[in-house]
Amino acid sequence: MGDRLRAHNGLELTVTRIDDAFMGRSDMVAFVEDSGVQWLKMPAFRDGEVELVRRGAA
Amino acid sequence: MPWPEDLTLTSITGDALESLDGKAVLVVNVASQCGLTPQYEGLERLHRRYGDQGFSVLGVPCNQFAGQEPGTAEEIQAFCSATYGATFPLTSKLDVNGSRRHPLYQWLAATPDADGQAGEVEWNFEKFLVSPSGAVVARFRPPVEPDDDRVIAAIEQVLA
Repeated sequence: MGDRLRAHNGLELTVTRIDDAFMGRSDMVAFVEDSGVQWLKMPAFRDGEVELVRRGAA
Repeated sequence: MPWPEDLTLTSITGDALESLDGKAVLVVNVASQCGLTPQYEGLERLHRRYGDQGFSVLGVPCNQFAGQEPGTAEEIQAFCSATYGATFPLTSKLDVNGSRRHPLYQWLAATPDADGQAGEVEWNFEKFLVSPSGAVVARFRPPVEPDDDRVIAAIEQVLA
Protein backbone atom coordinates (compact mmCIF):
# COMPACT_ATOMS: atom_id res chain seq x y z
CA MET A 1 0.00 0.00 0.00
CA GLY A 2 1.27 3.44 -0.89
CA ASP A 3 3.49 2.12 -3.66
CA ARG A 4 3.42 4.12 -6.87
CA LEU A 5 3.01 1.96 -9.95
CA ARG A 6 3.20 2.66 -13.67
CA ALA A 7 1.00 0.85 -16.15
CA HIS A 8 2.08 -0.20 -19.64
CA ASN A 9 0.31 2.81 -21.09
CA GLY A 10 2.29 5.17 -18.90
CA LEU A 11 -0.45 5.91 -16.38
CA GLU A 12 0.69 6.03 -12.78
CA LEU A 13 -1.21 5.45 -9.58
CA THR A 14 -0.45 5.39 -5.89
CA VAL A 15 -2.00 2.26 -4.47
CA THR A 16 -4.56 2.93 -1.75
CA ARG A 17 -6.40 -0.36 -2.15
CA ILE A 18 -5.95 -3.77 -3.75
CA ASP A 19 -9.11 -5.52 -4.89
CA ASP A 20 -9.07 -9.28 -5.01
CA ALA A 21 -10.45 -11.34 -7.91
CA PHE A 22 -10.75 -8.64 -10.54
CA MET A 23 -13.97 -9.23 -12.51
CA GLY A 24 -14.35 -12.55 -10.72
CA ARG A 25 -11.01 -13.87 -11.91
CA SER A 26 -9.00 -15.61 -9.21
CA ASP A 27 -5.80 -15.04 -11.21
CA MET A 28 -6.17 -11.26 -11.19
CA VAL A 29 -6.20 -8.38 -8.74
CA ALA A 30 -6.83 -4.68 -9.26
CA PHE A 31 -4.77 -1.83 -7.89
CA VAL A 32 -6.84 1.22 -7.03
CA GLU A 33 -5.91 4.78 -6.25
CA ASP A 34 -8.80 6.48 -4.47
CA SER A 35 -7.40 9.84 -3.48
CA GLY A 36 -8.02 13.53 -3.86
CA VAL A 37 -5.81 13.43 -6.94
CA GLN A 38 -7.56 10.71 -8.88
CA TRP A 39 -9.60 7.56 -8.78
CA LEU A 40 -7.96 5.02 -11.07
CA LYS A 41 -8.22 1.27 -11.28
CA MET A 42 -5.56 -0.91 -12.86
CA PRO A 43 -5.88 -4.71 -13.11
CA ALA A 44 -2.91 -7.04 -12.98
CA PHE A 45 -2.26 -10.75 -13.00
CA ARG A 46 -1.66 -12.07 -9.51
CA ASP A 47 1.64 -13.62 -10.57
CA GLY A 48 2.54 -10.86 -13.01
CA GLU A 49 4.97 -8.01 -12.78
CA VAL A 50 4.20 -4.35 -12.35
CA GLU A 51 6.52 -1.41 -12.76
CA LEU A 52 7.32 0.15 -9.43
CA VAL A 53 7.92 3.88 -9.66
CA ARG A 54 8.35 4.50 -5.96
CA ARG A 55 7.99 2.37 -2.87
CA GLY A 56 5.43 3.61 -0.39
CA ALA A 57 6.30 4.47 3.17
CA ALA A 58 6.73 1.37 5.32
CA MET B 1 -40.02 11.14 -10.31
CA PRO B 2 -37.60 12.77 -12.73
CA TRP B 3 -33.86 12.46 -12.75
CA PRO B 4 -32.20 14.41 -9.89
CA GLU B 5 -32.65 18.13 -10.42
CA ASP B 6 -29.01 18.96 -9.83
CA LEU B 7 -27.84 16.82 -12.73
CA THR B 8 -26.16 18.77 -15.47
CA LEU B 9 -25.09 16.61 -18.36
CA THR B 10 -23.22 17.87 -21.36
CA SER B 11 -23.12 16.06 -24.65
CA ILE B 12 -19.79 14.95 -26.00
CA THR B 13 -20.23 17.66 -28.65
CA GLY B 14 -20.25 20.28 -25.92
CA ASP B 15 -23.90 21.11 -26.41
CA ALA B 16 -26.65 20.44 -23.91
CA LEU B 17 -27.58 16.79 -23.82
CA GLU B 18 -30.90 15.97 -25.45
CA SER B 19 -33.71 15.59 -22.94
CA LEU B 20 -34.23 12.05 -21.70
CA ASP B 21 -37.26 12.92 -19.57
CA GLY B 22 -39.97 10.32 -19.90
CA LYS B 23 -37.69 7.79 -21.56
CA ALA B 24 -36.31 4.53 -20.32
CA VAL B 25 -32.54 4.94 -20.39
CA LEU B 26 -29.73 2.41 -20.18
CA VAL B 27 -26.77 4.36 -18.82
CA VAL B 28 -23.43 2.75 -19.64
CA ASN B 29 -19.90 3.95 -18.85
CA VAL B 30 -17.94 3.30 -22.02
CA ALA B 31 -14.35 3.13 -23.15
CA SER B 32 -12.73 2.77 -26.55
CA GLN B 33 -9.75 0.59 -25.63
CA CYS B 34 -11.34 -2.05 -23.43
CA GLY B 35 -11.80 -5.74 -24.10
CA LEU B 36 -15.50 -5.08 -23.64
CA THR B 37 -15.60 -2.27 -26.22
CA PRO B 38 -17.35 -4.56 -28.75
CA GLN B 39 -20.39 -4.23 -26.49
CA TYR B 40 -21.00 -1.04 -28.48
CA GLU B 41 -22.57 -3.26 -31.13
CA GLY B 42 -25.13 -4.68 -28.74
CA LEU B 43 -25.82 -1.28 -27.24
CA GLU B 44 -26.53 0.15 -30.67
CA ARG B 45 -28.85 -2.79 -31.42
CA LEU B 46 -30.81 -2.06 -28.24
CA HIS B 47 -30.98 1.61 -29.07
CA ARG B 48 -32.38 0.93 -32.52
CA ARG B 49 -34.67 -1.91 -31.45
CA TYR B 50 -36.44 0.01 -28.69
CA GLY B 51 -35.81 3.61 -29.72
CA ASP B 52 -39.27 4.18 -31.11
CA GLN B 53 -40.80 2.87 -27.89
CA GLY B 54 -39.33 5.59 -25.69
CA PHE B 55 -35.95 4.06 -24.91
CA SER B 56 -32.42 5.33 -25.26
CA VAL B 57 -28.94 4.17 -24.48
CA LEU B 58 -26.77 6.87 -22.90
CA GLY B 59 -23.03 6.34 -23.16
CA VAL B 60 -20.76 7.95 -20.56
CA PRO B 61 -17.10 7.96 -21.63
CA CYS B 62 -14.83 7.44 -18.63
CA ASN B 63 -11.05 7.14 -18.37
CA GLN B 64 -10.82 5.79 -14.83
CA PHE B 65 -10.39 2.12 -15.69
CA ALA B 66 -6.79 1.58 -16.76
CA GLY B 67 -6.99 4.75 -18.82
CA GLN B 68 -8.90 3.01 -21.58
CA GLU B 69 -10.71 6.13 -22.75
CA PRO B 70 -7.80 8.55 -23.26
CA GLY B 71 -9.06 10.30 -26.40
CA THR B 72 -10.50 13.72 -26.91
CA ALA B 73 -14.22 14.21 -27.34
CA GLU B 74 -13.72 14.36 -31.09
CA GLU B 75 -11.67 11.18 -31.13
CA ILE B 76 -14.22 9.31 -29.02
CA GLN B 77 -17.09 10.44 -31.21
CA ALA B 78 -15.28 9.51 -34.38
CA PHE B 79 -14.32 6.10 -33.02
CA CYS B 80 -17.84 5.23 -31.90
CA SER B 81 -19.41 6.35 -35.12
CA ALA B 82 -16.87 4.89 -37.53
CA THR B 83 -16.20 1.61 -35.76
CA TYR B 84 -19.63 0.71 -34.44
CA GLY B 85 -22.04 3.07 -36.17
CA ALA B 86 -23.20 4.19 -32.74
CA THR B 87 -26.07 6.67 -32.85
CA PHE B 88 -26.98 6.83 -29.19
CA PRO B 89 -26.08 9.95 -27.23
CA LEU B 90 -22.78 10.25 -25.42
CA THR B 91 -22.00 12.59 -22.57
CA SER B 92 -18.75 14.42 -22.11
CA LYS B 93 -16.08 12.36 -20.35
CA LEU B 94 -16.94 11.95 -16.66
CA ASP B 95 -15.67 10.41 -13.43
CA VAL B 96 -17.92 7.60 -12.25
CA ASN B 97 -16.02 6.79 -9.03
CA GLY B 98 -14.05 8.72 -6.44
CA SER B 99 -14.15 12.17 -4.95
CA ARG B 100 -14.90 13.82 -8.29
CA ARG B 101 -17.62 11.38 -9.22
CA HIS B 102 -20.32 13.07 -11.26
CA PRO B 103 -23.70 13.50 -9.48
CA LEU B 104 -25.20 11.18 -12.11
CA TYR B 105 -23.14 8.34 -10.71
CA GLN B 106 -23.63 9.38 -7.09
CA TRP B 107 -27.29 8.72 -7.86
CA LEU B 108 -26.88 5.58 -9.96
CA ALA B 109 -24.27 3.84 -7.81
CA ALA B 110 -26.59 3.68 -4.81
CA THR B 111 -28.58 1.03 -6.67
CA PRO B 112 -27.62 -2.57 -5.89
CA ASP B 113 -27.06 -5.24 -8.50
CA ALA B 114 -28.83 -8.60 -8.52
CA ASP B 115 -26.47 -9.81 -5.77
CA GLY B 116 -27.35 -6.87 -3.57
CA GLN B 117 -24.06 -5.06 -4.09
CA ALA B 118 -24.19 -1.27 -4.48
CA GLY B 119 -21.36 1.24 -4.51
CA GLU B 120 -18.49 1.74 -6.94
CA VAL B 121 -18.75 1.03 -10.62
CA GLU B 122 -16.63 -2.05 -11.18
CA TRP B 123 -15.21 -1.52 -14.68
CA ASN B 124 -16.09 -0.23 -18.14
CA PHE B 125 -19.55 -1.07 -19.51
CA GLU B 126 -21.45 -1.30 -16.27
CA LYS B 127 -25.12 -0.69 -17.01
CA PHE B 128 -27.93 1.01 -15.12
CA LEU B 129 -31.52 0.97 -16.34
CA VAL B 130 -33.62 4.03 -15.50
CA SER B 131 -37.37 3.81 -15.98
CA PRO B 132 -39.44 6.47 -17.76
CA SER B 133 -40.53 7.72 -14.35
CA GLY B 134 -36.91 8.23 -13.30
CA ALA B 135 -36.39 5.22 -11.02
CA VAL B 136 -33.14 3.24 -11.25
CA VAL B 137 -34.63 -0.22 -11.64
CA ALA B 138 -31.71 -2.44 -12.52
CA ARG B 139 -27.93 -2.63 -12.46
CA PHE B 140 -25.88 -4.98 -14.60
CA ARG B 141 -22.16 -5.54 -14.08
CA PRO B 142 -19.75 -5.17 -17.01
CA PRO B 143 -19.64 -8.79 -18.23
CA VAL B 144 -23.43 -8.78 -18.81
CA GLU B 145 -23.85 -8.29 -22.53
CA PRO B 146 -26.35 -5.70 -23.81
CA ASP B 147 -28.47 -8.39 -25.42
CA ASP B 148 -28.47 -10.63 -22.38
CA ASP B 149 -31.93 -11.98 -21.57
CA ARG B 150 -31.84 -10.18 -18.23
CA VAL B 151 -31.24 -6.81 -19.86
CA ILE B 152 -33.88 -7.38 -22.51
CA ALA B 153 -36.44 -8.46 -19.91
CA ALA B 154 -35.76 -5.43 -17.75
CA ILE B 155 -36.08 -3.03 -20.68
CA GLU B 156 -39.29 -4.61 -21.93
CA GLN B 157 -40.73 -4.52 -18.43
CA VAL B 158 -40.21 -0.77 -18.05
CA LEU B 159 -41.56 -0.13 -21.52
CA ALA B 160 -44.68 -2.21 -20.97
